[in-house]
Amino acid sequence: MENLLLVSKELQNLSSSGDLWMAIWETVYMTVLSLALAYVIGLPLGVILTVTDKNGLCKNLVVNKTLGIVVNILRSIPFVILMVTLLPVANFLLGKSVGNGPMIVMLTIAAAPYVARMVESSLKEVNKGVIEAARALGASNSQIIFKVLLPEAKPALLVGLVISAVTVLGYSAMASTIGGGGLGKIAIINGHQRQNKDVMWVALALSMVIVQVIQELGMLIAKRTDKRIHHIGKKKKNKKENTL
Amino acid sequence: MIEIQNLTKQFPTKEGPITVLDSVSLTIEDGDIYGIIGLSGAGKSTLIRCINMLERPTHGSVIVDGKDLTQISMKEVRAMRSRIGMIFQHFNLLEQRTALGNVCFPLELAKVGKKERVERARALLKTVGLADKENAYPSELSGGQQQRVAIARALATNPSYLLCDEATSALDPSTTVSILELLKEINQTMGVTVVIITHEMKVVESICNKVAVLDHARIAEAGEMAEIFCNPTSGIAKSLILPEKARENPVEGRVRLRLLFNGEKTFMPVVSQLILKIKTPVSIVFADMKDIDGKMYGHMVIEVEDNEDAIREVCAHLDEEHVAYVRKGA
Repeated sequence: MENLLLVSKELQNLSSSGDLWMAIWETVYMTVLSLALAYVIGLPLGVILTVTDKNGLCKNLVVNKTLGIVVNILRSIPFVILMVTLLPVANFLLGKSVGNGPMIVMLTIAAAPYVARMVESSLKEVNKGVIEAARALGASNSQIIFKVLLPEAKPALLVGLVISAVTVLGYSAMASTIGGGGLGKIAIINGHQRQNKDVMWVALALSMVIVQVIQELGMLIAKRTDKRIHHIGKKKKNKKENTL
Repeated sequence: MIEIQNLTKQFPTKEGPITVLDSVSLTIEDGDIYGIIGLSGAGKSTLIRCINMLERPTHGSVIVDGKDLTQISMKEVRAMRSRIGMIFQHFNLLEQRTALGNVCFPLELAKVGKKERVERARALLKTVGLADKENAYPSELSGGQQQRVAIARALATNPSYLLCDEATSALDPSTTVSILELLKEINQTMGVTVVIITHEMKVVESICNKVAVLDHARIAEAGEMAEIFCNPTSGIAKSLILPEKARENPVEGRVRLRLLFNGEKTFMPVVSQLILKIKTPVSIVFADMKDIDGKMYGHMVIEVEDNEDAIREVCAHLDEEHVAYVRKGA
């Protein structure tokens, strides 16, 4: 009971001082910003990986293999280690190595290769026959990329976005260990290091809520925009037709 | 006019190159509905894909409207492709676009203005009988409807040619008939030359005026549909036209006749009259007949006793009725 009071007091402090709200906000904006930057880099990389593949539009195995190796190397380094090795890079880019700015740089660099693979696998799902039809209709390679590959892969790309968002959110918590903010910091510093296990659990619970929201909302949007799926509104209409 | 000259296509494999097409030459005249028929693996899909350079020939040339497509740049090939429409076995529609969006697609590629392309796409959907489905997505359409959208899409850029790669193979028989009728209508009203790849004789039979039979990478025979249908000379053509059972030699003491109906005769019971007149039993071994607008099309294999007098009488009757026939066995 005493324990619970202590926790609630600590949480009240965090809440009234605005630290908790600030932490949620920091987590959200670090995730969103790093994810956006990761897509700026990863989306074109994913497209290049797809079109230079051996069955791709403009097959170029040298580019494909080189890029593939770079992506694999970046993806094989655990994020905690990548963060430490990237500190000088962040320092070089932003003039500092502590705070949310450098964390965004690191998250972006860690997430971009992940995003590239996500995009690649989504684009490879596009029906080869549809690409062939576009070629037969006179489409150039760039028209195929922008008018066929990307629009046709949209639902899969959105699913990839959701998965990447959750991954980046997880990374952002790790970034707290070397000076980033957000819920991860509350969990590790205010919770774990100050022996307030319950504060840690609360921070974790909040993270889980954010993950759930991203996951459910994202998947809903992905499904809603997929024209291969019949939606509830239309199903109702069909039922009506059947009963007539 | 499409002229295919000495076209050879090889695909590299680990065991060395395999030849899929071997010195194939064909001429497809403007206004033709040209059928290219063969069993799977005969190379027919590769052949049609060589016409619009989806597949680059290893040797030989493909001359469309006087231009050798194997000699021009990729950019020029793309420009030529807008004059050669193509439809596929699995329709290959853009799944995230509506029917209207699909028909607009080639016009977008050709940078036609939005208003104009929507107008043209609507007109084409009307032509293929889907005016009310413009906002439907492919997943909401049946196979036949999807193929109609694909036909409208292939016609959007006003092509002179339409290539059909097994376009009816994924459709049920009645839908197949309606799609073939649509293709014929397009050929007649819009003057589009149609090239059809298929493994089904009945597809070629029902709409093609010319046919090429492809077998093991070579053309076994090619020419007028009626000619080849009546007198197939190659083994492969014979087997495609007649099922194996009907090609078997008759048992001893029997003779088989193949009767051909090319639409010159009005529908009438030729065989019954034959039996009534000659008073000899006739068994029908095989028949594949169609009544199109009261005219009789198709063929039939009958078997009679091996008796020279009877056979002479039967032949005389058929001559009288102007029914062409081929005698086999005996």
